[in-house]
Amino acid sequence: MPSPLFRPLSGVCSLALALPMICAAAPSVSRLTPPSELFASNGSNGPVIARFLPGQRFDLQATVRLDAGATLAEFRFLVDGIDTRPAAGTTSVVTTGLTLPKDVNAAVVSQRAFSLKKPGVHTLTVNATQSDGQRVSATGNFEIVALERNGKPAKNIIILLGDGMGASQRTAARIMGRGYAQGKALSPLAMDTFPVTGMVMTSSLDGIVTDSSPGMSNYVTGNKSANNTEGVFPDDTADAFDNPRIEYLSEYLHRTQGKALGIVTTADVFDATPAAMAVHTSNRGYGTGIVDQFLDDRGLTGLTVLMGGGRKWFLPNGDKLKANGTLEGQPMNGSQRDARSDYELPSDVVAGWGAARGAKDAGRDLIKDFEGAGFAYAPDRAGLAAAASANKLLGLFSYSNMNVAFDKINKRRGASTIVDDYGFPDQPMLDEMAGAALNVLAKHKQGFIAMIEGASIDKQEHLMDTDRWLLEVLEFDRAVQVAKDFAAKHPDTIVIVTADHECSGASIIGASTKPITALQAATGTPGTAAQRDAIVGTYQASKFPKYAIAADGYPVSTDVDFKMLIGYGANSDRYETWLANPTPTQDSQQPFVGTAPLSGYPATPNVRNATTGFLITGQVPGDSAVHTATDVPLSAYGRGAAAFTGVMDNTDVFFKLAKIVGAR
Amino acid sequence: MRNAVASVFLILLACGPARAESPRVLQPPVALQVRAELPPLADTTDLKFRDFFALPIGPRGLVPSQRLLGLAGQRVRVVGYMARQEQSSAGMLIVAPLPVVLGDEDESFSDDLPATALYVHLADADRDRSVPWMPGLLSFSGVLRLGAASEADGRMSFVRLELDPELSHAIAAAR
Repeated sequence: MPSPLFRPLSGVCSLALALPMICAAAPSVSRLTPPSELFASNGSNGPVIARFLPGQRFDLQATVRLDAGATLAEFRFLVDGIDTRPAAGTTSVVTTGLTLPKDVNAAVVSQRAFSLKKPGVHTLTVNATQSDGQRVSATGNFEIVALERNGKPAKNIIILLGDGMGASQRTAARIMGRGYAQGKALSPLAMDTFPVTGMVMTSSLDGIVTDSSPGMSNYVTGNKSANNTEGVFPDDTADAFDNPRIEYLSEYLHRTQGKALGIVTTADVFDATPAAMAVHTSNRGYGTGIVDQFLDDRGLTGLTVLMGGGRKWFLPNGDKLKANGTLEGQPMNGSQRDARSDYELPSDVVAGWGAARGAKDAGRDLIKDFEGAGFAYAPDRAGLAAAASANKLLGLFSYSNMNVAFDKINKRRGASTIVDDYGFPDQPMLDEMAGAALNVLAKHKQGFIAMIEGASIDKQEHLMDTDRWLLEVLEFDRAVQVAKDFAAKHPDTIVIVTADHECSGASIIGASTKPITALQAATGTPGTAAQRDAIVGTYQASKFPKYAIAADGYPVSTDVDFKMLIGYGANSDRYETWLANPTPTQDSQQPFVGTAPLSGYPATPNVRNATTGFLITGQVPGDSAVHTATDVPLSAYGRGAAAFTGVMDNTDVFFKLAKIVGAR
Repeated sequence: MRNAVASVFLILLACGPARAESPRVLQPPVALQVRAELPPLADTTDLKFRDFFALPIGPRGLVPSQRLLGLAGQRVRVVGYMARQEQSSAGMLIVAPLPVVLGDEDESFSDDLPATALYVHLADADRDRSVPWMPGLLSFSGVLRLGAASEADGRMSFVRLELDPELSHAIAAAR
């Protein structure tokens, strides 16, 4: 994978390939970390890319390209011309397992866990000496951000992250969940009541369109990460866990202020957003190592609460491969643990950061290890209620992602058995998880940082499943209310509601001009005439869609007369019926024996409505909608909220939060 | 002439607008399609997803049922839905008790695949073929294999079906 912000080989010796007799070989530096425009553009200052808090730890690294047959004799890092004098054991030279072309002779040199207190822009220089005495030097820069005193500091930080939730998604949820009359919202969403709102730029280190890994990581490290990576800068080694680290806000605040960390998500807990609060890796897919690191490095992060789905990573797997390809000692328990996705850190990272070395241990019983570390374990909603007095809490409510709000609520209403088909009938709602998490974290005297994620807003947007992502936003907003209520009782708390990025380019195009029976009938004659021209009402024809809200706080149905219609600007090909995607039949082996309320749905559920909807050609290839680069709103409540006005970069949020809690 | 033109027009109207199908959607062979209650299949036991493991799933991991364990190495028939993936793997497809879409690109393994997923392996002669997504309720028969194994898509499977060769060839030959 191309690595951003590395410099192509300098002009003089790139000619060496064509004119070997004329140009003498010489070593060069092709990457200098932290990344800087000064290095990448060979002298242009540009914006300072890497910024850190006073005392925030980060790794220094360089890739030194050596002449064929040469070795690296020596290297040093200098900051502002002064030798950094690394502590013993915190440096390394790696010459194998590199991701560079095979004919390239190179050494990746690292110094771990560097920090600086003096504010200002600083130069970073690497000096390297090749075995034949030739020397090379390269210079970049980084900034230590000065934080002024900010009045009385907040003690607690609550970050509510609606994955993929842009402005359209918030508006659509308000229309559905609150209703409008004569142009006015009948009542606001919880997130609407936050007094301060700004806009956030979300791009990653390597593209205008981010994914969820840097989407979260940028907020809580103050630095841009590349797509698919969490809490690290890119490097040139294949090892996914040895990348140059950036200290997380959780780690910084635990180390300097003793704060605890809580992570709550409706996704598999190894997923990008929860992982990018605490885990350092260049591969968001390495589930075994990610969940292991949650526990192993709780001494660095202060991890106190971890809740969501993803039990499959916590179950012991077999260790040895048998002749028939199955694993020795594997109890067929569903474990997805795998040595391939596990971690074992090099010695310099262990020494520099005080991190756990880790081990390739697919046979690890991680639930048992969490319990041994003092965590109460909740496998379902009943277990969550029973763990109310816990001081540390692990909740694993599903095998992979938790079921979406649409399906969880319909289970509670007795209208669906999807959660039963998944085998996890008693899953909590996000607001219930948020309440339980905050109750545990509030016991921590030094305060906490909590991240609460509505994960499947994004996941259902990728599927362009309008009704399901809308209910995800409503579930998320109920968690926002829980956080706001907490902050109202604990005024030394800052709460922010934001998103890692927008997803799918969702737009509220209008509403149906026909009752729901007409939309259902139109599936019999699919096409633009029956399903677009005759149905889509724009401008004043959109009127004000009305959704009845049940006592549980969710719409009685999303298929209402004159329902709101959503279009997608970042979509793949899809067939649109405007109807909620049907619930599968109760028993897939008896598709023709349906009982109410399922009998109202097609007997053979048609994913993506290929024979009942009209084709909308997508802007992107594949089967899913994609993220966009659109700025997203951020709303703030509580102590220090006034800092979050205007248009800001997602990395700016890190420094604002640090200032609010009194980091200096 | 006018009548001929009108006839052509009516024929075209009856056909409806051209419906562009994704090239990654495969109409399943007739032998796999489930359109009515299935008649018994000789020497084959019908196995339902809900019979794989104890349901609901307990506080830890999956617990295979005695019925499942007793059918290891036997011929079984399972009815379900093929999981739709961004990229299919050669020689293998995933079948679930309900329709699922796996958004691999932005999800990795943070997915909506139920724990009771069945990995169906094509016959050796077809193992190099990637299988585009086949919509609808489908029937698969073959030999049941149990135990943890690492699959080409990076997941661990626990329940696998070695698909009957004639069904495997029908999929491989389908367009």
